[in-house]
Amino acid sequence: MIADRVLEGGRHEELPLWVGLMLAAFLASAGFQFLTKWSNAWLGARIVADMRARLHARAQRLQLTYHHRHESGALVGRVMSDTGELQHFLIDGMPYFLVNVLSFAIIAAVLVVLDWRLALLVFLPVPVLVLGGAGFWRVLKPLFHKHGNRVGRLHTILSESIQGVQAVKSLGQERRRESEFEGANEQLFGVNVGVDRTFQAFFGTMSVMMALGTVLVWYAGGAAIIHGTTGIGLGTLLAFVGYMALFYGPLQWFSAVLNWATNALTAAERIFAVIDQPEEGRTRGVAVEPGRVRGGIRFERVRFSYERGREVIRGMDLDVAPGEMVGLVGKSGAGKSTIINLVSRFYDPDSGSVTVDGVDLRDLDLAAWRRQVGVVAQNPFLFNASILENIRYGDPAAPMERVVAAARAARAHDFIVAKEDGYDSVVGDGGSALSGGERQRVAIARAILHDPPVLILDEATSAVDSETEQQIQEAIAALVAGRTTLAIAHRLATLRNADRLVVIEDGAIVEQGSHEELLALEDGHFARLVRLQTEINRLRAEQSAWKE
Amino acid sequence: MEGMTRGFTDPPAGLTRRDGRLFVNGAGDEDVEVTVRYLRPLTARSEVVFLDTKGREVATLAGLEALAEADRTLAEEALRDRYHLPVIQRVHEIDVRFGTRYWKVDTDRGRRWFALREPGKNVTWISATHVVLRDTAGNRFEIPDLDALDGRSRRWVARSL
Repeated sequence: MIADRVLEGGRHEELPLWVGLMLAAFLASAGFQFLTKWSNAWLGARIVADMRARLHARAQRLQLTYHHRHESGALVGRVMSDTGELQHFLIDGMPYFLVNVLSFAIIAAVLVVLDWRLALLVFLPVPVLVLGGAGFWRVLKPLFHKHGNRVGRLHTILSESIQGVQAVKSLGQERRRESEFEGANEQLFGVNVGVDRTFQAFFGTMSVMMALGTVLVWYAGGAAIIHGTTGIGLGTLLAFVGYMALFYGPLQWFSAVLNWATNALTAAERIFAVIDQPEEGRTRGVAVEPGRVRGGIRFERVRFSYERGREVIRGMDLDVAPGEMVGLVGKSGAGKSTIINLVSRFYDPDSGSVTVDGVDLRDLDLAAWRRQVGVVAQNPFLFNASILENIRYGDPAAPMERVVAAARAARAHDFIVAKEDGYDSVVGDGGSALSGGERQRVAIARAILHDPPVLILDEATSAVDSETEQQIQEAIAALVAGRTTLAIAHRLATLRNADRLVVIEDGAIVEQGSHEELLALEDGHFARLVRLQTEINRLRAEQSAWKE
Repeated sequence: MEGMTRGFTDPPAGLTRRDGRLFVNGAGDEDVEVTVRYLRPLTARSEVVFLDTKGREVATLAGLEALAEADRTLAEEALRDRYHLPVIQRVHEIDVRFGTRYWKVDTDRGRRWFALREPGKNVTWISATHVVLRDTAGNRFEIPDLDALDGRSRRWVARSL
């Protein structure tokens, strides 16, 4: 307009008007972009925050088998990296995409109005670009999936290297860890190079196609002006070339958006692959709210396998009376931990039933049932929070007097108050600021405060020295009183206080009775295990005496 | 939890303070030197524990109200001596270099400069407006009420924590 109408057409007085309109258009465009960015920054961050929360919530409710079969780093990668990819696209990619689609359509219309013949030349590469883009999408998508998996693998190795640094150092395996990390890192490098090269190849092809359009317009437009055949003036041609840059600009940009979109959609697929996983322990029919159970546990013809064809519990019948303490004894892999997993309802039996006070666990509200079961494990998990918060974890509103009473019963109060920050002392990552025995006693205090009618002791004293074990045994004695207790311990002597011992072999009960009754059976399984353990202890004692 | 161990104990027989040290009165020469501490010094200064010089518990109380008035005064003095933290009144600057935050502040004990690392570990939020900071040398500083700081100090804190 300025060239043809104002400069060549002699309407010089209109120059301020057209320049003013140009300025207004620039300002409007900048304002629109600012508003779009402003609102999308909130929207993108909101969507991703919600998605992270949903992913985390789902991860808490996934079946244990999912966690056993998938690397933890992969899940961390999905919660952090994949949602980050999505956020990046939603905040930056999406607004540009919308703005550019709009300007693409408007400029196409302007080009047609200016000169439909030149416009056709400009549009010539478009079908090739669209089809090429679709093909490129198909190539890039699996690469992005691969990229996500490689990032997850790297997360896993990195978190293992950090958490297991002591084991790595003590076994002198630093070099091996380094090479494992380097291997995974190189694989990620390879995928990154593949993604970028694929993208660059497509981008290069697109640039050539677009350059072809530009050349054609210059040739046809130039010829028309020289021969004066179509009435195109120099101003129209210059305007055309200017608009072409604006027309091809978004097209070029679409390839970058395509890259982003592919990445973001792949990330979204990986996120929803977790969100769509089934939740654990659905209740059959209407969930029964059990109230406080008495704690009578019964296994009736229970069969269970983690993998099809490899049964680990074979038609087990077991009755545990309310308030009874039962010690589960047997070799590793006999099925003791599986019994505990079934009682905690981490898994459901393949056939038969597990009941509490006569009600099948599958009919109970899962969360309500789990609140009735306290677990003290070999390596109890403590959160990186204060001792107080850890003890109160199951009951954050518990009054301080109950907390102190629980800590006192768990033989933990004395070591807690000796610390500078007392109950406010932070236990560190995984309880690293506490000794093994202190961690165990905090966990017992937590279980005492939780006050569950059913208690599971899973090798609760095996990770501590003899002196600490004595204190923990006292703490456990305070804990088990009046509760149905299932206890696993490899040190058979620690089960001496159990009302009954149940010997498990190959997924079935082979013997049961009191400690004395089972010892009296000379050829019995339990007596054999005790003799074996006594012999091992004797050899160990001799070995340490020899070393001294 | 019925019949479970009591949380709090009976108060000590009586307290005396000699040469800045606190003693639980015993018979004759058997006064036991003790220290008094809060069970939750960072989050709730209410329950207290009396420990002997070997760190053994002498008494754990729900609060100082359980003590006779004279004893309460002595225990309060001892607690004040032990737990008084410099209170930050104004933040002049927080400079971040290589992940370390260098604070320049005015406290109720005068101007202080300190370095803070790993805020996840060394910053304890007692409430939404009450925070305790631990510097790299282990010294602690308290901001009892963020809202009571001037606007510029509040902005520095909001940017840094």
